[in-house]
Amino acid sequence: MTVHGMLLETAARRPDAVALTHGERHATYGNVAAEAGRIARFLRERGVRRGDRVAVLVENSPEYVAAFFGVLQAGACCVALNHANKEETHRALLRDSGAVALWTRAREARALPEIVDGCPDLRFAVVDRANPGWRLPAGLGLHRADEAAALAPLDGAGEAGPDDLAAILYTSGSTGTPRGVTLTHGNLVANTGQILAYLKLGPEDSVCCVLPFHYSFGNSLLLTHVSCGGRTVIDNRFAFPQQVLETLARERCTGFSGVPSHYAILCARTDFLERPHQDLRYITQAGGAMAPDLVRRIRGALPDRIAVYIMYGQTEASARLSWVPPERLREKFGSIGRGIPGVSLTVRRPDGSECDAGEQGEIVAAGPNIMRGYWNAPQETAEVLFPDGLHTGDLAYRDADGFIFIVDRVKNMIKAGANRVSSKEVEETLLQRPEVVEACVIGVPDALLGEAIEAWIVPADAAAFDEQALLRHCASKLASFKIPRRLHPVEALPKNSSGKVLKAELRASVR
Amino acid sequence: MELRQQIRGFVVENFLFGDGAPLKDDQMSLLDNGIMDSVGVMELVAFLEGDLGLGIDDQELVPENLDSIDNLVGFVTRKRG
Repeated sequence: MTVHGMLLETAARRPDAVALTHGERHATYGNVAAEAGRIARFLRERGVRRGDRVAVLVENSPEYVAAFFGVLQAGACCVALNHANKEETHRALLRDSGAVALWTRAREARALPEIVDGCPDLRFAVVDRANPGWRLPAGLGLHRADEAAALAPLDGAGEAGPDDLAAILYTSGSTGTPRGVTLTHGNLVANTGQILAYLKLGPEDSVCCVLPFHYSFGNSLLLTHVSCGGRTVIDNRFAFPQQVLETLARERCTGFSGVPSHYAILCARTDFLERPHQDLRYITQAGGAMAPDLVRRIRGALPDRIAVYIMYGQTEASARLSWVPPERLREKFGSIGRGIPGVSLTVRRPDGSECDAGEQGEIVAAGPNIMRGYWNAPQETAEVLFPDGLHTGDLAYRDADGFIFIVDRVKNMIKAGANRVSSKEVEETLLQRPEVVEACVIGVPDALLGEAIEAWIVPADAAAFDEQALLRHCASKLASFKIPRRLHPVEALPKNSSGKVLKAELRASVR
Repeated sequence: MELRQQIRGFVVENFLFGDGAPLKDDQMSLLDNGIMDSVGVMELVAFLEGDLGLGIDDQELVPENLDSIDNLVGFVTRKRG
């Protein structure tokens, strides 16, 4: 089975069922499959072949979904880009992935010439409408998306098979540059089946989706609902959380999924916990540890008929690795649960042997959902993929019942909201400025975000240090979620005898 | 300080780090133009409640009240009225 094969199968079985709702728009499985088929033909006619990479830079919408499945049906691998990133990052990822085409819209690619500049593999871009002011590199084709609308959908599932790459999802790496997690059709289809096995979704289910599809959790919501013939209700306006709750009620969604910051905001600024939620059957949470007190509060306030699923995963595992069965949540607050069906999740010692109950070790995951590796990065792949599986970098222990509890992360990653941010990337950005001599970036506990990014700076000239100018520099280089919330100018960073910055000391100083 | 200036000042200071150039006019959507994100909305609400002393109901967290300088000025004026 392939990822787009799941769409084609559902479209054949339930052509008139609504697959997507976005505001006033509803697209049936028949519509989505036809649209994807037209895009697939369009790409094939322009020379896109099996194994090519095609980037998609489109916010969650029916257009994204059609482009995603169209790219796959054409035999290519989809590189979904985060529209929150800056032009410089888009360009770096287009270059790194070697994408031959970019499917986007004018609203996400206002500065298209800057995005595509210096991408030697890129042959053409497709937009909904072109800006007459754009000056594109010579030789780069520019097409309009409505050229595809006139074509007949491509028949059949095409050449790609389970072992072909379906997606490269970029995620922050320990080196500072984003790494491409390569996932095959087989990986994504396997994880979709594994998730369906415990969430037990069916065609009557519909999820209110506030998570971006370029993110593995958002992608898994889309794929599970496509597979079971359910409906994905897109709402990109979580900035106004009360309105998302109106969408949830109006569209009679049976599920809601979010990361800890979504639930923190819902509990702080909406009537989420008091609403009757007549149609809601379950909520799921993943994307970082949610404070046990918040889990308790949510579980205590929502009616018992609404199942609360606490889960854990990684992009490197397609999405999902573990879950706490809802009926055991009250006795296992703080746990990430056990491996989902088809995933072996163990806690291991450095020598590879399994830890005893209560003993700390690293979480190691194995199963058909584990990535092929990082794109073009054999060294980094070798650091996480071993014969016994994916070494997650999370330190944990398991209790006597086999439930896993995370203690700490091995790698220097900050989990700000839904986003994994590399301290190194932010530090490198700060150090680009001559007025910064040293920089150290850490995540400090934050009620809404889980962790907030803060930076300690040793300025070259403390008297002349301009904090706002440095933040403006960050804003010009980094997505907004990577910009430090606070800068702390200091005379020197605390270090150990070998010169390593003592991050724990900095973290303790803000408590 | 005049209310509009105060609100503009907060947005420029906190979301644009002192450079007001991207804020082309007072009608433009702060969200659609990438000036503010969902966490930014929470900071904005904290500013309205803290610095301006407003009591804001959850139901009032809508774009019509918060998504542009004009909407913000209108919202605060109505609340104070």
